[in-house]
Amino acid sequence: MLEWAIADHPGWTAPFVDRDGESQPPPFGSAAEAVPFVREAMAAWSAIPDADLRWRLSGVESGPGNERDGRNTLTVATNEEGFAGRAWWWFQRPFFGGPWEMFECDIELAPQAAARLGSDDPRSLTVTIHEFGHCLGLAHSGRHPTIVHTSPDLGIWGETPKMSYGLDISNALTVDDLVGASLLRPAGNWVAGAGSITGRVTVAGAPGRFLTVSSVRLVSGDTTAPGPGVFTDEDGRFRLEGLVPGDYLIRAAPMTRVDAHESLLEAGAVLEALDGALLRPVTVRAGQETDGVALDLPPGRDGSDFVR
Amino acid sequence: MSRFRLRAVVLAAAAGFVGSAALSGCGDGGATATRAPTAPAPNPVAAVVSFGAASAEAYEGDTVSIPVRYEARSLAAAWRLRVSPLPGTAESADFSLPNPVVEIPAGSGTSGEVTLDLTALPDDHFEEGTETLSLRFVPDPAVNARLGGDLPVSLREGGVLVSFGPDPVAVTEGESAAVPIRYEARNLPSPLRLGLSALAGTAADDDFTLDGDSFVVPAGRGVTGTASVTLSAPRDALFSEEDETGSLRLLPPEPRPPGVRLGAAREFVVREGGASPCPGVSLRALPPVVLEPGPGTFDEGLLSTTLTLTQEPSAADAVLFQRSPYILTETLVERGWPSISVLNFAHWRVETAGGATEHSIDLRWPGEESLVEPNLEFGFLGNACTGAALATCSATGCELTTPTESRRHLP
Repeated sequence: MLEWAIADHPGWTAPFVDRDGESQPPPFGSAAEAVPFVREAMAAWSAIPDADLRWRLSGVESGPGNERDGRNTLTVATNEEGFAGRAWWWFQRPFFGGPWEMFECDIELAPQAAARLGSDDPRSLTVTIHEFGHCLGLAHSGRHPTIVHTSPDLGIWGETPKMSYGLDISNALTVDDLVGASLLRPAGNWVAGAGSITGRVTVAGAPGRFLTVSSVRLVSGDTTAPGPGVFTDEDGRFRLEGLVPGDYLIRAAPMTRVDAHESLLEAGAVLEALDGALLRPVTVRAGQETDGVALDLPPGRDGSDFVR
Repeated sequence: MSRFRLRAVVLAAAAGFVGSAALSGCGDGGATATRAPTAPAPNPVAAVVSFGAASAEAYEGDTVSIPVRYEARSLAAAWRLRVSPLPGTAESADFSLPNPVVEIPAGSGTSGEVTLDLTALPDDHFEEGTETLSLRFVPDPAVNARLGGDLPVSLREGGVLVSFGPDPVAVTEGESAAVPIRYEARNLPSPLRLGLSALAGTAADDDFTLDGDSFVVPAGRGVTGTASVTLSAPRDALFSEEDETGSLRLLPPEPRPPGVRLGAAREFVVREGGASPCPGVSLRALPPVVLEPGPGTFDEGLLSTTLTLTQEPSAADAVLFQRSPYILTETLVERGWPSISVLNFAHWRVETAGGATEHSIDLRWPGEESLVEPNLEFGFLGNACTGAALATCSATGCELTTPTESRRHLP
């Protein structure tokens, strides 16, 4: 059981200046007032039926938070610093080698995001939910480009496992959140019941390096549902995991928030390609991998030399 | 007239011989009323005339020759006997008796047959049914003749009725539809060629073609049948059109012969048949509309269409690519934002049947002209689709476009 505490930081009760330069009242009268909302954000993750996530919020504790002190904390920045929220990961590994392990995760909310916690905004918890996802070990993902995302949303796609970028239109977890958390901490026999799709994306025949690949599940009749997405590797290959058995459409596109993936950009991520979809449905069977899916995208987008 | 004659007969019966004088007086004005009351000398019958048939009939447009038999017993000179038509349900405008006279040759103990021509005049009525009249010999006081009884004549409805079939005519772009034409010829002595014309309505002249501009109704009596012309609608580059309409009209020959009755013009509908950018792929779309405000959406002002994309097995590996829109405004570009797709796939439905896959995709995008990329543009790669036409949707509709224009380059 992981434990979190709200750090009794002055940011919870201090007036602040928002991104538009307007003075705003304190997010809360006291840090304790934030407790039920933070618990609700944590519960969104622990309610995932296919994931085994157990954590609790102990309450408000004194101390600054956001320091390596062996505690997982949630605190508020004093002023807007150009972010909505961030998670500080602390890793360690034995001196003799071995995998790095996260041993502490501190969440810092911007005052505006903290103030939204207690509001009636349908997206009141999204930033907090998102930062808790990081503390589970999920990286950035992005908006799913299909199905009922009816605002010109912005987002990114992260290395697998992935997570929505917190720009959703409600507090509900996205399919990337659900599948990512389930892949990290699977519950029961979920993994055996899921399937996967592998394939390769090219751009005018060249490897589609670090492109995003997303899936759309054909549910039944005339309904569809978003499926999870992944990044391709440097050779353009991808592996979509945690798929409910059924038929899927596969889409591929360049990442759209390069600032969240500096490392991929430095590694040569292809940005000059048009979005594409393979229209032939790909069938996924439980416990099996469907291989050989291939998409070739045209180069293009603004600033390119692509001439149609 | 007959009432007066009957009264005269009654008077004759009451007055004995006076009646005979009254009867003969009909012919000579009563000048012999003072003759002695003896039986008149028999006046020998000079001729016997009768119709040579019990009845006659004619179809409108026809001329029938009615036989008249005669027996000249003692005709010193040729005799012109008048024939009078007695209208029944027929009116005088329904027939023509150009020469209502039969000429009996002079002779003694001779007989023969002459004819009387009657023409049933055609009109524009088609359902008035058979009309009747009678022909009667008009007694000639100068010739003592025995005249036969009246001849009933039937004037049968004639002409030709031509009309389009009762079913609505609709043709889908890329297809053809037969347009049935029905005809009913009561009496058509020679084949009748009728013209056809198609008039544009909301459909333009090049939205449809007819495989012919005329057809022939065969000659005959009581002929009923159908003809057919083929209406075709070629596929065009547009694939989001509403139904379009035109009309077909039957045209009579010039000069228009009598008795040809043509049905009303028939409206036809040209239905959107989609467009095919490449082999194995066809597209159809609803006309794009601007979305109204709705609860829980951010869609107000967005353009929306539903794209129906059919993919045959020959294009199974084709990839649909989005060419625009990716960017909202120049301001975002100046701020260094990367090109972000602003096309939303609101719903995506897929049905597979017989190896073909039909996608129905609800698409929404900001389409204001002030934006950098106001239009939705997409195309296909793979199979035989590489290099094929692009598809473009804007507020005015969706169409295939030739992939020759360079894509906009931003700074």
